[in-house]
Amino acid sequence: MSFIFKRAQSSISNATTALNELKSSKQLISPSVIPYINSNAPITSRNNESKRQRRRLLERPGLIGIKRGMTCFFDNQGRRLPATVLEIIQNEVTFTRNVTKEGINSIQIGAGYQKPQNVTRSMLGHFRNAKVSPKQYLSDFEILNEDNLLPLGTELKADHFKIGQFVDVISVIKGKGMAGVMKRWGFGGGNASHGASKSHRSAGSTGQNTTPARVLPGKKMAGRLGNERNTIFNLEILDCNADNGYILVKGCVSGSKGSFVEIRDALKKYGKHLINLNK
Amino acid sequence: MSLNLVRAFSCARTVFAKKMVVYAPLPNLRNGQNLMEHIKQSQYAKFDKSGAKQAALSLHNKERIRADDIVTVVYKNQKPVTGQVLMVKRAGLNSTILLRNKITGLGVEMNIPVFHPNIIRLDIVRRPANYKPRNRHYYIRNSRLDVGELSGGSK
Repeated sequence: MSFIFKRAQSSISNATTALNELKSSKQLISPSVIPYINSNAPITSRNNESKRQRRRLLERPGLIGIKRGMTCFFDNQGRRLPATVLEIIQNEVTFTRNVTKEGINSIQIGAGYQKPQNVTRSMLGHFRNAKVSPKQYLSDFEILNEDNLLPLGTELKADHFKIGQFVDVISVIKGKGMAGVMKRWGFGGGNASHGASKSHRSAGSTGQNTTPARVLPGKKMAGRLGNERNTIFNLEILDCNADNGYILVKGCVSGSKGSFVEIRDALKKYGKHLINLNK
Repeated sequence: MSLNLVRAFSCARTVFAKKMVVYAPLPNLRNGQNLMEHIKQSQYAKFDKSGAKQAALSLHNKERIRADDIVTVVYKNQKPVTGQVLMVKRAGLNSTILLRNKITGLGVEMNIPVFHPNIIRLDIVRRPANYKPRNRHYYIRNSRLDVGELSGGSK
């Protein structure tokens, strides 16, 4: 993608030669007479393409699993490890984007099955184009190279991952509703006794006095807790079975049983920056 | 996906519109068996081939291990451990029993993962004449009901 960073070198040099000619003629010339130069817009750091160059990306997409519960796993060294069971079913490629057309290389993967009665006609058309069944959950996985895009309708199975490798698991935390500061932020609360009145779990002071005469932004207070996306990095794959469609991941995963989770190769271990690869 | 799985789909709203093609889902895995149940069964098949450990914990078995029994755990790679059962936790492959013993007057407790591959078998050394009420005997700790110094071969 280096051509994108190439400035309009030729047009700039043309302009400088034109200026030099004007100087050599030793005439008093107003700046407005200097010819107008058309050059390409500079690539700013906020440009989508340069953002993509700086982003850490993976070479292949991940999978979508369904959290089914937890169990234990005895490894070769006789250790008993906690393991989360993630079911991998109906994982198929539903859509792809490429960098030349959409400015991003990504693979959309669908999982689960939904009755066609419950799917809108526009989404049914989307699944028909990929020649797959109506999916319950869709997710986009951005990838590094355009060459690694998969054909539509490709089925991905649990053996996509290898035993012993590390993955990131992204899911939505259980919603806790309105929660006080002790539960939400781990505040200490007030005294149980010593004359404490109606302030056993309260937040206490929220700031100073006349200066600044307001509560500073970002003050930790009571409010909605949970029900947000959470990524757990670097979980080990203990077992995977493509025939029976499941993955065992070491440790716990956010969310309730039956919730969809996105599983990808560990970004911090296997991710690469395009800007480093192009050097 | 082969084309023979395709079926035409129409609903009341779209009767007048062109019929939408809907593709059938991929075939069910495990003949539709629940995944957690499948994993439990496959783990039992791997770690408890004879079914002896399952039987030792099963509530349908009258000879099962109960709180108040004195049990010796025989290991593959270390010396056997003896103690009185304080409680039995039934949690599939994660099932444990809590053994209490006294070593030189000091109370010692061990949580034994029953299905651990290094555990060969669990021997019931002695059963009480009358079982105490309750299934969790935490209350005997440091009371007059507490266990004595137990050893595998005695009594």
